[in-house]
Amino acid sequence: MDETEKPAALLYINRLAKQLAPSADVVKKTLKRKDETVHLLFLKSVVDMMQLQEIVVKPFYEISTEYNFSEYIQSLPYETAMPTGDEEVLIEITKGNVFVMIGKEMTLLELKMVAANAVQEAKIEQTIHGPILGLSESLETNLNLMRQRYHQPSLIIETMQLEDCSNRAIALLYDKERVRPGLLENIKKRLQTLDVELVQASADLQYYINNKKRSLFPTSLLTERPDRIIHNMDAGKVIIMVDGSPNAIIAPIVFFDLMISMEDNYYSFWVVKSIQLLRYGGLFAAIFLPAIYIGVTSFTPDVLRTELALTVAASRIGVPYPSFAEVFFMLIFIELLTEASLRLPTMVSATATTVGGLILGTAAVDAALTSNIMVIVVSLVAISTFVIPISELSYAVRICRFLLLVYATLFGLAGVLLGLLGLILYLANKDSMGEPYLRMFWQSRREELKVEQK
Amino acid sequence: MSRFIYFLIISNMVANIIASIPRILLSESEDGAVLSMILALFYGVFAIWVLIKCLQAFPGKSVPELFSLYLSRWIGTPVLFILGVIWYIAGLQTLIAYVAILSRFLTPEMSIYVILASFVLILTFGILMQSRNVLFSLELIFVILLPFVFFFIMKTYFTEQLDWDQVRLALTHTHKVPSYTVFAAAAYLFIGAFDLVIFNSLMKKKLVFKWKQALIIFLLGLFIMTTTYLIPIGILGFDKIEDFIYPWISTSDSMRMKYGVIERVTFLFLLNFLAIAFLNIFIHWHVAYKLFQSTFGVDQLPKGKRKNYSEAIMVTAFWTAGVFFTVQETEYDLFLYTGYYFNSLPVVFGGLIVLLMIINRRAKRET
Repeated sequence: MDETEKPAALLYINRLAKQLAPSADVVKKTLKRKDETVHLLFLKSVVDMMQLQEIVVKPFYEISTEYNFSEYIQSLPYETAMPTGDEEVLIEITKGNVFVMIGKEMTLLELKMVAANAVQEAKIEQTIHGPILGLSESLETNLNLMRQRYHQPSLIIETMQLEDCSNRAIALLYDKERVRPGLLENIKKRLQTLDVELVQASADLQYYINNKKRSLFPTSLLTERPDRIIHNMDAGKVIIMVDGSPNAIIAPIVFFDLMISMEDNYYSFWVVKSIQLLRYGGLFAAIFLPAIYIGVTSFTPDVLRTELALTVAASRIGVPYPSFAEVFFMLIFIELLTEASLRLPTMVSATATTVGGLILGTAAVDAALTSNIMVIVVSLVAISTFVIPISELSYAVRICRFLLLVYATLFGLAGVLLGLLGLILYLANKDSMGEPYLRMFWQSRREELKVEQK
Repeated sequence: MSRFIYFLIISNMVANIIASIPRILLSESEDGAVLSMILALFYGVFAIWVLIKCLQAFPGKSVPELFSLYLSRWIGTPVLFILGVIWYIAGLQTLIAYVAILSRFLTPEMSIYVILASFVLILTFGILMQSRNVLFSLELIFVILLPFVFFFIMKTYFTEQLDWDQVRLALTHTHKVPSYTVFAAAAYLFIGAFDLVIFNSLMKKKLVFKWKQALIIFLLGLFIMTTTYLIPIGILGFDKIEDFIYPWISTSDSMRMKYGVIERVTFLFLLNFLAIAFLNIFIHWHVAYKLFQSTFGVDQLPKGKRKNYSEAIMVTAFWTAGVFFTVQETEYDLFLYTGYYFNSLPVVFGGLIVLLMIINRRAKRET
């Protein structure tokens, strides 16, 4: 070993150690054997000590003198590329890399230990026949899950580091033979020019890459299901994963993607079509039913056939205010109930729904605060909202419903229809990563892709 | 030919079933209406053929772009302005007709200002949309509505009240001398294809117009014209048909769905055609807006405050004129002025086609 180099190298590792101090988990170790010295620098909270012991410490003392230890370290598969600059090296150390210095040779070994790498059960998007397990909270495990399910050399994984204060790793996954190059460029550019303080999970990252500060409908899809990820990757979409988040972002999407449950792939054709019809019916009911109720009761009762119009009118006897007040009152009530039962622990939420249901069901009608038909409408609306498979969409639908109510209150039945058209225009004018958000697809997914690639 | 062109044509045809066209057609029912319509049918298909022939050489270029490339500004700008006005009126006449219909049939107690207000927000949004998305939403709304429209039209054909003898009676007047107004009004049904002056910038592929396409458009036109003209006669009777202000609403109100939740067909009709009329207004105004944009050079401005202000001024002007005319015009005025408007159209579009031919020749000479 060159005697003149040694102090300089030592100085460097000391400088690094000083910048990490006074954190309690910094470890700076020197291994010595005869004329060989190895310096290690790592954070013991993120490094797998057992592995370190097995891979670095033990061989150092067991290796016979004629072999070079530094060559052994270089040949290990755990090596990560050495970045330039102190700051970057320190970030690598905080990620769980071990800084190894033999003489003036510096190496980073990735021996990280991730506590939360267990694969979790898919809770939000449950299916009966699909895979039961979802993603985990560790990026490595998730990438492993993807590779396990998609054995194609064309599956590309690109990792980058977020430029926020957490410096978290994110991964881009795509099938390079299917993805459109322009789209990929677009997404990469957005990720690189991201200007945010802190990204916690995929959920907030998806709103930052949207480029729109305020939006109502999701323009990318958040999923916890590996099968949904593969399904979309196969269609030429790009998947973004954030370390520490059990959800992946799928972009770009079209509106119809939000109405797909993975279950649709696991049933026979006509069953799926019927379920989808039901689902779109539910979507329609969830958005329009209250607005139509206002339009029909307060503005144009003659739209309905006479018997039905009379039934509706009879059920409203004794209700002291116009229909829009009734609808707003009941809908806000049901929103409160939904919100309360979502946020409460399971045991308490059962009580909340029972009490709420009782009040909604009979007491409100008996007190002549609302009509029977309104109760039916409200419960139908509430149930229909739950039919929507992606929860982000159902939140957006809940808000749309109120906007349409305002339109119906002001302009009647024609207002409901114009509101619907406005909603369609709004969705059609949106874009997801530069791709149109809502439009008709006449061909199957693959043919559509071919056309776009031309 | 791109499917969107069919959508543009069909939406315009269907939307005008309800507005002022049937009244104009039926007003001459004892004179030359039938023959004028037959002439208009051939003229319409021919006009679309010429238009597409002219635009074929320039895939992906809108007419304002062509004007700025091949024509002097002194000719191009005024022509664009006139075209803008034409398209603006095309939307406006549907809007006025529909506001009148709504206030008469669906919500009679509502003030005309409130009815107009229901259009303002959504139409403004529609005007300012990207052209590409305009076509996508047209397609989507169209696919949703078409089944209902088809159901409705089939219902009119198979209803018991339809008296084919009255239809035969109407056809006995075929030999009368055609009337120019009826001809122009019937030819207006085909104007949807002329929205290509703007939307051609999105048609990246070369447009094809051969016998097949011509036949499709011819049959579509034939179907819509016979429906528009003969069904009201068959249901309401030939005598005094010219006295109806909205013959189609009276026609639809004479039918009922025995087992439907909605019993009176007219509501289905009104709401459906409201949506299609809305599409029609929104597309015509979008085209008008784009034409005005290139007339005043707003599309050349860089993104920023000045562009936003000029766009805001244009939209405000749209609505000021819109509200003024909607409130001012009586139904009689509407009938009279749309007549004049239709009369002017064959001339204007003839001129446009001549200009396009000149552009074609210049483009050929340059290459």
